[in-house]
Amino acid sequence: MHWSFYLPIAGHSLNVFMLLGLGAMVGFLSGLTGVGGGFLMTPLLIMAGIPPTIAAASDSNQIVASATSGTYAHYRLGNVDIKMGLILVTGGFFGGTLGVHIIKILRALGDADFFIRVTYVVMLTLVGSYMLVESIRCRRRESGLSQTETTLSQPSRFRLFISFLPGQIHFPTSGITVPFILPFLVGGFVGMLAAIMGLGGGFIMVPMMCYVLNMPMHVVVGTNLFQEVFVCANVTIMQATSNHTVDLLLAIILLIGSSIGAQLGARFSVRLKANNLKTLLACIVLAVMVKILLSLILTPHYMLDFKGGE
Amino acid sequence: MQGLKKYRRWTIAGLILLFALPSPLWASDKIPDIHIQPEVVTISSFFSGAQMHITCDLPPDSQAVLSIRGKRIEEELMRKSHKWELWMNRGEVDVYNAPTLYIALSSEPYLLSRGAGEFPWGYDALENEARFSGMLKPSEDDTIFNEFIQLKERDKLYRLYPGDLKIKRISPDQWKAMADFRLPSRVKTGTYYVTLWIIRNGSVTDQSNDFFEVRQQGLPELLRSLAMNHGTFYGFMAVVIAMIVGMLTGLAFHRRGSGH
Repeated sequence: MHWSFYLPIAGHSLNVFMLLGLGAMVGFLSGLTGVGGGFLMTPLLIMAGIPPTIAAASDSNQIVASATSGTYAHYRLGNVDIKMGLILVTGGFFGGTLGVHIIKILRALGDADFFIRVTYVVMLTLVGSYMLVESIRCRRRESGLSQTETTLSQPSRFRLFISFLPGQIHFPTSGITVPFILPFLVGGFVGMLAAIMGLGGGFIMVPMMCYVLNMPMHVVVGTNLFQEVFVCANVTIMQATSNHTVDLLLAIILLIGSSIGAQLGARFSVRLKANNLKTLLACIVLAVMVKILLSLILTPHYMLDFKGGE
Repeated sequence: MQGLKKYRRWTIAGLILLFALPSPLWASDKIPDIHIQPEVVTISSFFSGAQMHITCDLPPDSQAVLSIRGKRIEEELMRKSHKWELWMNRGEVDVYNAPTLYIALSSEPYLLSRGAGEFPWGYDALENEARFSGMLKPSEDDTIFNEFIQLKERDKLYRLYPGDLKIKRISPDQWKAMADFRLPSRVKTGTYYVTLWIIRNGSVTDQSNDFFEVRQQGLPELLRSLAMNHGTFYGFMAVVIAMIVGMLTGLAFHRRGSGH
């Protein structure tokens, strides 16, 4: 008995325990940090031999499951801001449509692959570094190393500016009041980047919710998972309709592992301090950035790849 | 006259016998039969490749080459190049007339070495048949072909087994070629053509052809058919299943958690 399962759309077989393990590992990180895990799972599946287009599309499907499972767990804990999530999803829909058009233009011009990879490196570097620096600063504040900094901290110019904008809405779950346009634009921006980069966009959305919308970290995680359910469901249906690249069997095996992993991650996240979560996420984001950067710099082993590769 | 008629009758009868009886000379020129096990490879849920066993009778003192090839299709590839000190996919290269799968085994290792001669098998023969277009100069065909082979070998779709076609002496007049190899799990459905060349004194004296089928059945066939023919329905089904599994795991964990 090989414990291999034939994946009809991917067109070859893989060990079922390896796939369950991959799903559980990524699901655990998803439940822990609120990031869907697409930016981790897709490269791992490609390394396991799944064609890249099928890896990305099937991964979206499994994120629907892990995000649903994670959202449920966070909802029970009162950590899902549904009002905020719906505005983000609406913005994401418009941003995603714009992103699809941008990528079409880039493909027509050539160099789309380069643009996508450079966008990855730039975005991951910005997001990862900022989160890492922020978490280190917070640690220092907590340990009393820079008490003067804390006492002197005042609302930034950005916060003052948005407080004067019209259409202010109060979000009781998050405990913040911001103008409607702000989460709408955040959703739109992340949706656009996610469409260009071919991901759910959680690793950009989480820091944006944290630092632009000023939402508390425990609500950020649950709300991001909530909006990812809609984003990834849309991607799954679009990919299945236009490209026939969703491998349901692959997604089911991954989602069994990831749903369980997400539950464990969500429980573990309660025990972790917000700063530790930020540091962990920053390290993951930076590690993925280094991997992509190396693939740009180091001479590749294969000079050809099947279309849709990487 | 009577005597002549009698001799003519005997001559005709003798000629009929000469052609009707199986002579050793005629038997040695008969095209050998290829026996393929299994004749139909079935891809089901637990398929992880298939072990193939092919045998064929050979005349004594001969060498042989066996090849298995899939249908010829157009493959779309992306070519990497260096720009601004960075590696990226920058242009498309289309490969025409190359088989989806190519496996060859030979009784002698030299028969499959590149540049061994103008043989109708091996990578040299594939290179002569393949055509390329896209982002490449005419002088680059050779380089692109070698890179294409590397890519196919990575996926185990192209493989050469020099010296792995075993030849067994059944009797002094009857030899048998035997090939054992594994079809990769990436094999596509369709007809696969098996060719055996018999070589004596460095030249091909005979050739025999046969084929086997690769088919999908059960759950893989059902899902593939749904995905290809009813994409939107398949997409919604995938989302609903994902949500149900996610919710069920969430509920299961919640109950377990609240039980403590």
